[in-house]
Amino acid sequence: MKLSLFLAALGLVLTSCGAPRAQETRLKDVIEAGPAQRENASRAKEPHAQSDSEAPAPKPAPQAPPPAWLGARETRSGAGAYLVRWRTEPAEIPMNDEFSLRAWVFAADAPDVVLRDVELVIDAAMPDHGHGMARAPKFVKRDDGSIEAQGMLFHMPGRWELYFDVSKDELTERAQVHVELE
Amino acid sequence: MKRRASFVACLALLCALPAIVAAAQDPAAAAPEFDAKTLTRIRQHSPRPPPPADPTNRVADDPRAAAFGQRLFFETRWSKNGEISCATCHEPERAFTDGKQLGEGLGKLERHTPSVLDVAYNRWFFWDGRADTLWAQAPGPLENDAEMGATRVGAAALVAEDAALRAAYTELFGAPPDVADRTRFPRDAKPSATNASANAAWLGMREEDRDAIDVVLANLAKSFAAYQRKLVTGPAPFDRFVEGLVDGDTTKLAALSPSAQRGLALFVGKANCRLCHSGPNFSDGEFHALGLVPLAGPPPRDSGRHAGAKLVKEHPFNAASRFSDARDGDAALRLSTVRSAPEMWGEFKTPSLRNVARTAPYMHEGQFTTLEQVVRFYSTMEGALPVGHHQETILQPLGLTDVEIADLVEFLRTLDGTDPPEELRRPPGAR
Repeated sequence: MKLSLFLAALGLVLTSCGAPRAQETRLKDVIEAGPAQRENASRAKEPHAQSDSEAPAPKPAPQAPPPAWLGARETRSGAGAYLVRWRTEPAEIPMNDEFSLRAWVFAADAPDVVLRDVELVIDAAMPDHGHGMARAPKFVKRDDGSIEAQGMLFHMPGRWELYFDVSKDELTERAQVHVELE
Repeated sequence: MKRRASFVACLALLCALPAIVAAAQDPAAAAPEFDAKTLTRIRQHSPRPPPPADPTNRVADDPRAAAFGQRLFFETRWSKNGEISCATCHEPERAFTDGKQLGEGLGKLERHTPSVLDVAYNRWFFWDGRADTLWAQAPGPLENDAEMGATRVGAAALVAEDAALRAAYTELFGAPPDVADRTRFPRDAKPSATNASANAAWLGMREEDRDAIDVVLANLAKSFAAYQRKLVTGPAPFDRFVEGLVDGDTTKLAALSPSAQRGLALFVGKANCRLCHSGPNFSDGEFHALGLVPLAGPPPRDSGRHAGAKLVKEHPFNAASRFSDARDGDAALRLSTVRSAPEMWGEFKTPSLRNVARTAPYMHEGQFTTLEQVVRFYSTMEGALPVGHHQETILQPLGLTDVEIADLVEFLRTLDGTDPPEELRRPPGAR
């Protein structure tokens, strides 16, 4: 048991020292996300610690799967009211090939509770070229409160701006991020 | 006298020396050095993968359908005058174009005939993209009264009555419907917005009969597509050059002259042709307005993608239609996201640049007869129509020198691939 604790601690030290950037980002996201998600993340590490133990491990209690937004990219709205977490499929936005984008909206001061009473519109444009997307993506609302934009297309290389317009009670705030496509 | 002549010759040589030295040092005479960014961009254009699959067409890659489609491609009997086939305008010996400014079938068309070489790589079809699959494109020229002037009922009758066509069709799709009753299946019937009598005859048919004919038309269209998917060109000198960049083989690197290499550097660099002519097929597959003056003079009357975006969604044979073999697939999703907006007025599809030297004239109305004219247009934008409200502002005069224009043209000439096999470029069985 002592050996397993030592190995678990060693694993954590190694993770924090030499883990890939994606894992670091995920850990950072968990810290920003709040206690519930920190708990989920620490639970996710338990199997690694147990696998090194010689003693039979106690059967873990059923865990809720981590939220799909965990580890997603984050963009704050211009006036600071909202945090938008988003990820694409495929993970790297392709040049001139369709992709989907899933986004979750949070209040900036409660970044672990997905807001469901806001409207989210996702769009993109190339300001340098004076045009937007050649597509009008199809929006699908998911059970976890996310919005999935299907059929997104960045058809040209260069600087794209991605817009998340969050509306509630006739007020709209925009979260914006730019993407360089080569 | 002799000494004087030698003196004059020496003097002339001396005077010319600075020019000779300058020429030797002229960067225009040398091949460029490609930096890492340029190399990355070059490699985005080659090698070209095989054409994408088309799940909306279950016989897309069936060799029997391709053979049947090849027979149909060269078939003239169903045209209104019995003399026009697809190959009349898409002539195999002219890289499957007609070499004319505007297409000509039974009448004069309003747009230039594009090549069908490498057409399987296209995302949209026609200059305005009003068809979303290769097979959905086929009924258009067949029934257009200015092109072949056929009717779908007449086509179904030909297939049913010609023993060879009937056998080939039956093997792929089952027996064609019995259309012998000419009252029930009038040969001149087709849906048409411009041919009132043909449209009336079509609407006079029973719904189940119209449906049976539409099924035949869709199957014929899918066979056309199966054949055209095979009209893929082989590697071009540019592809060999890129191979050489990868493996260092100097023989392959010699596939591009220094001038063509400079043109390539311009293409992916200063001239930024890659913005629209991207990827291995040298096209983004989308639509742009170039400000070209129509042949009939301004203002432009051809709305291009503005209408095409609406038409493709209404197309009775599109990827989401009941004739599609993947109604919920990626092509149907793509179709559902087609955007239609006022700024799309006058936009036309970016053509592939593969085989471009063999497909003159250029642009949607064949406005330019040479590649040099095309590049010079982009260099100066002289005569271009002003950009409309909200229209994209991508195109700015490139300000190329004469040498740079020549280099770009030289590069474009290296995109000619080898032709598909000879047996695909003639009617089946012909020699």
